Amino acid sequence: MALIDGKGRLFGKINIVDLLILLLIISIAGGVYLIFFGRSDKQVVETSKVVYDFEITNVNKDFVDAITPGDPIRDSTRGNELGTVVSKTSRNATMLNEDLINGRYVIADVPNAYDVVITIEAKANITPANIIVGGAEVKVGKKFFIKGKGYANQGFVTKMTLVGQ
Amino acid sequence: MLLDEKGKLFGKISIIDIGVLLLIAVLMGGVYYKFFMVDKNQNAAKFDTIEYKILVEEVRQQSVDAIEIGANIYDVKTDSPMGKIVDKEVLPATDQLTKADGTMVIAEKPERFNVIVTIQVPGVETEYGFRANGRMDLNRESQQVMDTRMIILETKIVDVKNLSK
Repeated sequence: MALIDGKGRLFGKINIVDLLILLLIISIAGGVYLIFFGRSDKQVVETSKVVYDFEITNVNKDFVDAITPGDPIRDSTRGNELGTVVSKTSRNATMLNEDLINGRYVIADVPNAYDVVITIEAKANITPANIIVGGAEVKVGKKFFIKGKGYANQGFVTKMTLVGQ
Repeated sequence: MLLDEKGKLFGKISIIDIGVLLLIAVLMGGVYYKFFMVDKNQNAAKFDTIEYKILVEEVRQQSVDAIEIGANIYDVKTDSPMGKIVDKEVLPATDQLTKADGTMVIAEKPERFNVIVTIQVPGVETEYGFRANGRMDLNRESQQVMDTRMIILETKIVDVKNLSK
């Protein structure tokens, strides 16, 4: 039997073009998987405990009070675990405003609003390029939508510490 | 006959199938060029040391602290090494402000900083410009994501030069 028959079929069964399209689809699917899921665990050098600060700004007192040490924190977009609350600190929320009379910027308190910094502890996979918690790269400046027990909001990682390093 | 009455080349392969095959080949070539191709003459032995400066604007003290001299920079998409931070200069963040009387001043923003980060990376200089690791164009005023293991920030390239010349 010829490799490709008179109808352009491989071994008389599969169309060579169909086969190539199938391979392309598999390659694209593999690429998508690598982009969205594959990077997280590649080149894992070690696992380590990390402690990081996560800041949520301009919330009310009830929100601050709802955050309790021991709360598990999840990424509310992907559902992955991002660690456990160790502690929290809060202060009056502030805004950077323009003082046009005196030509300067001033930091002004926002009445009845708070900025809260949640300290979170988690186990992380450490690679040369990333610190990965629950499949997500956690680093200063990274924005997350988080969810705890009875509260959810968005904020940024503001501090990152590798425990024991 | 080159094309038969069914639109098949030599009576075997559809001309549309050929088109699809060519499209796949072009796509695969594009992907290879984008992610794997580097300029000619750019094996490691022929790389120069390219030094470029990036400006990080209006960040807070936590971000300043997380920019560590000696930290490696990675490509945000591929995690490929893209150089090392060799210096950082911290300046007060300022901006133009139009006062109530119509005059303009340069006013300092309290608790906000601009950081000029100096990065060295193996790269090539051609008549068209500079390329880090032969892949990433380094152009003044272009945006660049600074991605280290500890921090990720949007920045702007403000200077680039070849230290090997």
